[in-house]
Amino acid sequence: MNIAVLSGKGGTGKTFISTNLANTIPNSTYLDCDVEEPNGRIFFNAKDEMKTETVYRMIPSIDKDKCNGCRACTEFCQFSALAFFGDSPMLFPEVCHSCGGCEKVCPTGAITEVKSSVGIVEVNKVADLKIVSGLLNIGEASSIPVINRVLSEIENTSIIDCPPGSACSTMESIKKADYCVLVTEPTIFGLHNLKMIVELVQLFKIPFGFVINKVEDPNNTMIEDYVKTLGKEVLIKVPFTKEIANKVASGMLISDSDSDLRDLFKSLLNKITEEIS
Amino acid sequence: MKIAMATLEENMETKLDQTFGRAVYFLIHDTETGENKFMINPAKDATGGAGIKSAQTLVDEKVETLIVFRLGTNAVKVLEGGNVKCFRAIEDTAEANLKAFKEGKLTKLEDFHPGYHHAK
Repeated sequence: MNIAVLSGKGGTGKTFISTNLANTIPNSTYLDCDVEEPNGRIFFNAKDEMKTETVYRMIPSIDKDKCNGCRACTEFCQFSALAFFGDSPMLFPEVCHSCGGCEKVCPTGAITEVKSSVGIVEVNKVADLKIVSGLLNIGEASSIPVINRVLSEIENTSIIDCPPGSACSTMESIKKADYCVLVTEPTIFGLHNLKMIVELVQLFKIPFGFVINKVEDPNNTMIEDYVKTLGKEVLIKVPFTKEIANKVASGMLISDSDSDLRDLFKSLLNKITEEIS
Repeated sequence: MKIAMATLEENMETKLDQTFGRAVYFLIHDTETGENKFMINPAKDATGGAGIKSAQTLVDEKVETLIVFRLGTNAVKVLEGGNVKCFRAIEDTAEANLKAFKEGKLTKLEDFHPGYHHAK
């Protein structure tokens, strides 16, 4: 079973929920798809790297001697990643979407696809947990190849920690999910972006449920009220306390030290399992 | 020599477009014939690489001089490759910019913004 944790808004506690959820499931896999800023591994204290691998994407390489100047490649490229001046095309790699089309339309075989490094993937093992982190190179425009490589490590019960927002990288991260946990905070911004990812997971037809994090005021029911309009109930509510904040800031898993919260995260898995079985 | 400008309208009294890649029109003035040609920028609604595509259009039109407010680094690479010289536009009409250029009153454009593709 693959459970994706996403939020729309950043800072609602995706990593907090995913790391603690994975921590309460035996033999689970934690996959950090927030590849621009992967920080989940910090909480597992994963010191020994089991495996590090470079992730590549394909970009065109142009053999100027073979180019006949027909411009089939520059005309084909929908992103204008190839410009033509002098007597051969010039590549703008950061604009290239790695579709491979230019190689196919070239009549003289002047274009071949070559590997270009976009980031790394790290796989660690701590006790019975497998921890996978993707790390995108700084300045790289597309995180998709790294996310795909991270997802290829899915094994047993997998918790997928998604990037914030509701754009391409989030869509890529949920494509193998059997269930989506939507984490929000009880604020107007939290609710606004929550509605955006509800639309997203409905579009993907993936079963989903809600977690409200950072709950302080019991009279603040803005999230519950919205969830009810969808005919659903909130899976769990996590309180906002100084103790939790301190533990998180110290890089610790609250489910290691707080048995109530450990039980809460276990109940989250049980509710999800019940809902999709 | 052909001189290009990104314009908002198809006349010589138009102001210049503040952007390059997504400009609606390009004016191409031929100093030898005195002809003013306006063309719709084929990159104005491009999904990506608008600066590159716009620059490609001007290089293909054999433009040698571009009068513009600002340029991204990708567009600059194409323009440099096509030997197009770039000058900073003034807040005035196309006609006034052309006149200022011919009188040698425009300065060369030398600072470029990094563009929108997180270029390294």
